[in-house]
Amino acid sequence: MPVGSLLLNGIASGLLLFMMAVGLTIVFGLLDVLNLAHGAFFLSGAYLGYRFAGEATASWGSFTLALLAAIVVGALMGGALMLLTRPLVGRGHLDQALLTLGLSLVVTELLLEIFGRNDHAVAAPTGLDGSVEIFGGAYPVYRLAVIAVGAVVAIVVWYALERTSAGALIRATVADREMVEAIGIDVRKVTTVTFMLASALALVAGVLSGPIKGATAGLGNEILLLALAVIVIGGMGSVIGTLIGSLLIGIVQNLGAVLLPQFSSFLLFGAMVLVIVFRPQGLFPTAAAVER
Amino acid sequence: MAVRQSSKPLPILALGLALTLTACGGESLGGTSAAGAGDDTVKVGLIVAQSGVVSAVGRDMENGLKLYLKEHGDKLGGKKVELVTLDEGANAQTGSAAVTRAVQQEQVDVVVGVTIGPTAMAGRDIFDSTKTPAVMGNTGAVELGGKLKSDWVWRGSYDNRQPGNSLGQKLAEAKDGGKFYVIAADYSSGHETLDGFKATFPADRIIGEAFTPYGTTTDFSPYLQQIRASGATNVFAFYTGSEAIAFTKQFHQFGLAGKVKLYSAGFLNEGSALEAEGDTALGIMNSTRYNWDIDNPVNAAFVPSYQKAYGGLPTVYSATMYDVGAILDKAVSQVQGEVSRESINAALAKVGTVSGARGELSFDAGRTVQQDFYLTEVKKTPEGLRNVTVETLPKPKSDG
Repeated sequence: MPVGSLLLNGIASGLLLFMMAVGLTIVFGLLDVLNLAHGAFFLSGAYLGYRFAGEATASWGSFTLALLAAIVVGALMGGALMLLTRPLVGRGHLDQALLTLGLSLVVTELLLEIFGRNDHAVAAPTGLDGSVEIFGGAYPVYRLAVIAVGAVVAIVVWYALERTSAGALIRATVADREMVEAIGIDVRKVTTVTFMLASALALVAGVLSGPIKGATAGLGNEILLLALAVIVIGGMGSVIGTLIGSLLIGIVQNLGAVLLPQFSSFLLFGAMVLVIVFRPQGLFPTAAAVER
Repeated sequence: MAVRQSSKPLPILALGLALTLTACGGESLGGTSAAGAGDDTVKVGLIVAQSGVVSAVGRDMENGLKLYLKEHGDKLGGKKVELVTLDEGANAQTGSAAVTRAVQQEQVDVVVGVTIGPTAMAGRDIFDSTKTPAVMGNTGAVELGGKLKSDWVWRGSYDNRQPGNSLGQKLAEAKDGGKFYVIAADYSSGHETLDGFKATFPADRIIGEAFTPYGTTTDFSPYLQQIRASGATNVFAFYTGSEAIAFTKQFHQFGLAGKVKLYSAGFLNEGSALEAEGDTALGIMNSTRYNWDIDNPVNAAFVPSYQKAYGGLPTVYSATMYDVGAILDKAVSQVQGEVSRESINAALAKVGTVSGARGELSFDAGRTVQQDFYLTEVKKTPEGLRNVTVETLPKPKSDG
């Protein structure tokens, strides 16, 4: 059994999932907003990849353009979502969930109107679209590149949140909003910027996943579901927990498909159930999330 | 420590999961207002997915029927057609809502279309209890011809077992044709398609089988690596829509294309999927009930007419609905007296052979259309990548 390449796959899909889930967990665990439109954001990124990079072959320029567009559009969408959820502050999670779920349906249908109803593929940049011999068989180079990029993003996100003063500000806002306001910092600015960054990251993940998963309407919900499972397993608001949860899910999915094919759909949610029963705060909860 | 808002994270996450799982396909119904059908009109309810993940297929289906109606002066069997188009959405809930509305509110004489199997299954009891004839124009759910057979449900499309059954007969002839690995999406259509193949293809030449989670698999690499490790020299696969694109591209990326021959039950490289797949689809063989280049007089006129109207080649989805139009046309023309649900259903039973874009069509005793299947291959042509018909396959055996 090709364990080596299955593990590589698990890591590649886990890292893509991480980029998507980390924004969701920051916004939920740290800012207390449950954003069910996050999957639709990811999908928007995939469609931007299709629009800019094309389906058959992509130049580095066009693929980079897609990534830049994803950052800009993502930031705008995050800002818009921030404005939309502001009136709901203090009205509980159900209202937020319904609002953002509705938004995700609207965004998905808009994407189909704009980019057409056909399912689309997204091309990988030239040079990354081939295969290399690894573990005794052909393996797509692009997935190796995704692993490299995903690892860098994971380190940057962790460092930014845990080791920089900006990250400390975000965490402080969560822990004690009044105190942060009292020392003269505009909390709204902090939350808005965080929202924009988290959404941009989701769109970037969408572009990067394009050459693997394509751009098709059902993708947003599929990835959102996995990301919610990651958060349950990893613990809310925790970068390390999200990373480990994502990798775990990526690897379980890939190995499970081969080792226990008839149970592969259940493995993931079975793991989730175990975590909920025995460790409801997740495997790696943040201090802030636990105290709440 | 000050707390901004008290919350219990876990229940709300569970809520999020539940909402995502259940409410994914909640699209609203579109439609037109009711107007009483007079004696010289026939009111047709067209049910197709206009929103959601299968709306590309729904659009092709709608195009096919509308082209037939346009070419025939908006008449079927000499009667003026009043068409009510309802959005099926992407799941059984929205689908059965559309069926209910067509049958009860709009009081249509006949329902045509239906994009996905779950809508057909959910609608079956409605058609049966209200005695409304329904001509399926896409789904090939086996149970509609078996356990759930109804006097009112006609499969103008196909039976899910037919493409594999036809192809299996052909491939079984070549005794030295190598070993097969069979793989399909894990839902009824996938299982039924493989059943059809296994009914006519020798079991000792099938060395592996896999079913991939339906609707959630975008990465087929673990399965492709299994296929590679199995040493199979051929694959028979069933995938549609976005899964077809992902499977085809990854089959190529993981180095199987060129080494392992890929056969499919149609749909793998159909219509816009082929554009997305590009050269990675080269050499893939499909067993299909319709291809743009099949040789019959109706198709010779249909293809240019479709291209003129919609600017692309017709797909199996549009051709099937065009044929449903032709079947209904002939049936209504044979109605004696008043056009009603009963008289249309009776006429469908006696419609005999109809010439469609797919060739000569007739219903068997199980109300399933009997038709030829064709083996096609993806080739480079001067007009770009195309599915090119290689030969006509043996007729599907009547039990499947």
